Amino acid sequence: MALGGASAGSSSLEERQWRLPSLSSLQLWALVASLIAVIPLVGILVSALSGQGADIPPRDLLRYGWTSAWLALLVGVGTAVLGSVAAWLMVMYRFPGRTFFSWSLALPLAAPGFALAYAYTDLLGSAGDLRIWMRAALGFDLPFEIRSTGGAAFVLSCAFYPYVYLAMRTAFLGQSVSALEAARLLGCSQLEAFRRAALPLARPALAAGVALAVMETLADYGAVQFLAVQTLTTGVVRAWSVFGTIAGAAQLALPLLLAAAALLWVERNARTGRSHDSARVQPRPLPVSTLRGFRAAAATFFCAGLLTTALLLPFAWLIHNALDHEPDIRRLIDAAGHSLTMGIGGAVVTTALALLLALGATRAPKLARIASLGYATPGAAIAIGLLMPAAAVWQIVPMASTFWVGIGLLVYAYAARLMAAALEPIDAGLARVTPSMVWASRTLGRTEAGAAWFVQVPVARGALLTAALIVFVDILKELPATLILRPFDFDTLAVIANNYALDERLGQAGWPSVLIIVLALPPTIWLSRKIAVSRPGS
Amino acid sequence: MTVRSVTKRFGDVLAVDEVAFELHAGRITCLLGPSGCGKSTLMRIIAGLEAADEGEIEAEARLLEGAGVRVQPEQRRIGLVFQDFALFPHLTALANVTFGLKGKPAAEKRKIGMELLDRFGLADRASSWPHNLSGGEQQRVAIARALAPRPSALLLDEPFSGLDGDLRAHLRVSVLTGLRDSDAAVLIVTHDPEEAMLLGDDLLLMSEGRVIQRGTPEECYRRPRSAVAARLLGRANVLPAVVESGRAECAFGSWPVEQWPDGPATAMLRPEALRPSTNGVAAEVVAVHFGGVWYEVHLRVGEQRATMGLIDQPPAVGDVLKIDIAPQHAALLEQA
Repeated sequence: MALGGASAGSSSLEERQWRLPSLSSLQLWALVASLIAVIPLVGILVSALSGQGADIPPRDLLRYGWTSAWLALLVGVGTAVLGSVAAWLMVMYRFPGRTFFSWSLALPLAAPGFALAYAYTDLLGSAGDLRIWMRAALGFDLPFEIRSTGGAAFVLSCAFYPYVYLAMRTAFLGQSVSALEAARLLGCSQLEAFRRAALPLARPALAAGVALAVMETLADYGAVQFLAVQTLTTGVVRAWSVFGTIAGAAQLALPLLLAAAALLWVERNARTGRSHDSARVQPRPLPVSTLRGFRAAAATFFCAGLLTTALLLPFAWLIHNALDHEPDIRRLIDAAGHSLTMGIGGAVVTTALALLLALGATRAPKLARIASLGYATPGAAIAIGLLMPAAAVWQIVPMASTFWVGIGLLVYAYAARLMAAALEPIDAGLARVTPSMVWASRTLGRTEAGAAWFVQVPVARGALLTAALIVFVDILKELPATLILRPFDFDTLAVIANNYALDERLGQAGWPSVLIIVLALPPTIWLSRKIAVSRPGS
Repeated sequence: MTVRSVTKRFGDVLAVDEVAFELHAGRITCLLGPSGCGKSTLMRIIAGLEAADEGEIEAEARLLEGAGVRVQPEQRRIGLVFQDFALFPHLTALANVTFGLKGKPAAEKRKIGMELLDRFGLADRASSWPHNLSGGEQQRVAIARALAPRPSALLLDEPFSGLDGDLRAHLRVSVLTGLRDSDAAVLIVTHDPEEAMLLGDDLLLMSEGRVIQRGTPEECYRRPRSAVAARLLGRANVLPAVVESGRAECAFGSWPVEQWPDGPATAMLRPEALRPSTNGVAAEVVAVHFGGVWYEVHLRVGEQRATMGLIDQPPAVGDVLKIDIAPQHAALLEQA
């Protein structure tokens, strides 16, 4: 009956002051969850500094780093422009197809970057049918090479602009209408109002969205490696797989960590910086103007073009190509089974961990930040960071089955990377539970854990599903960590697509790629429709 | 329930300062004080949601807090009704009410829940969702929910502040009956003096973390101990006075007092203490405002000002009224 950390008999004030703050069980679990994200990062540092194995020559480090930075810049600009224009059109104007595009423009998130890379290389590459035909029939060739940094920037911009689109859309919807009206009254045209009032106000959202897109760009392996662009991430995987040196891989991963930390800082600061006006002013329905004639056509054309280029065209091309080749059904089904198992299992584990973190971290917001660091770190880096601790644990406690160790490490890597992505919707869902509801359940006989289970979790049910789906889709698309950590003979769809592509069997690579998109589309459609429907403040 | 010398600090601020009182089963005690006086903090401490820095809390012969002991809120058997009602949005009204009944078979839970809802007139809303209930209905469900586990004490935090005018008056009556039937010791925290006096068998006046007076509503209203206590319960004219041979004299008249030493004192006159009379002190009418229940008449005698209330026949500004003092509405303050 006597609970609360003070031992019976210590009644004097001085003794009470020395008492350690007692951690409730929830807070303990939150601490554990956040540590999961930290261990791989520590592993990278230790591996890099241990120096056993090849030291990467600084020349290579610089070269990879420069390519990564240049690619990040190009994709940053590309996604910023595409995402912002799309969001602005969607929020401020009415035109044919607007309702459909408002949610469907987020769908490219269902397609892994490497699938787009395969499709476009086949379509637009110098050795592809289109170019061969052009050279023969028209006598000239398109002046670009898809297998270049520019090509990679194009592919990744198509893949990642939805991050900026969604962020900007939310920002524009949440903006105070008065600011825009004031700009118009002061003589700005519609376009000027956009440029001088709406855009600056939405800058924090732009920074957050672009930071996300750039994080994903730095983390990408499949597309970049196929397009023969040598970034830090491809260097990390190559150092481990070809040269067999963990230390070398870790050394290449260090700049990625730093970049990740910087981007995370940008993204978080952009969030908290978003303050003042729109929170206090009740948003009125936006003056949506209807576009007519040429303008309406241009808007529809832009959106249709974007969706086609980023998803429909590559998807169709992959299917068209795949149909020409006989699929290895056995291998495909096996891989699909593995993808689904890892996807569902990983989603459950990650969501549970994120829930624990969210529940226990109400009094310690710093814990959530630690988890976010995992999100910013590329999967390849996390996988490398896990190898050394795993080896250390193996020496102490040798386990019989390497299969389950591999699975365990893989799930761990997914959780470390994606916990923060799950945390966000869960936090939002738990915010619907007021402190007085929790207190009420305490006075009605529930412990702290009981209050969480009987009140907070049920109220946040929808958010838990959203979080699980987000993690599921991300795991389906994941490649580098899976390549590094998976047990022998355990291939996912992403892995066999990558294997086929490396063998230049792009037709065969189409089957698993299409399958990934098909599996990822239903949850992505559900998620984007859910986001498209809500308006902040309503 | 007994509360002894409970103290709570937030940094340098003394939110609760050696508060002590007792609650008795079947009686309703109202804790009245302005916002920020520490009453909500005190309530959370009693319920166990916050720890006291010093002091003891005992209920049903069991030490809940103090001397190295701190019983968790879920073990204290103290019900709490929140200002925002805090109904669980994912449960129906009935499920909300039965939430605190653990370890009972489902049929019995349902029976107890329906009985309570019926007592508060909500039997037909049992399967409604909280967002479909009106404010008054939500409040009654919240009270029923807190009463279901038969707590030894029930604390209500500003239970009527979220409701408006007519509804409040109506609900007070129905809630009161429900509370009296429950046998729990009830503590209602409020900043509304009228509510406190109408509902409470006992009153506790609180200001700046301290309990400054306790007693029945009449005692507290008629014989406040200080100007602060007087003003908590309604309008009060606080004036300097002089006591001599059993009479207190102030600018607006005099009245007999018992057992008071001669010398200077402070007088507290309620507006209803001043009444027009044929031979009394002449006071100049400085302002007249109509306030619904009565006309507020502001008077001046020399440097002293006071307010009185007249139901009809208001004077005009500038008139001279003769007034005297009704002794039952006048008092001397123990503290200045």
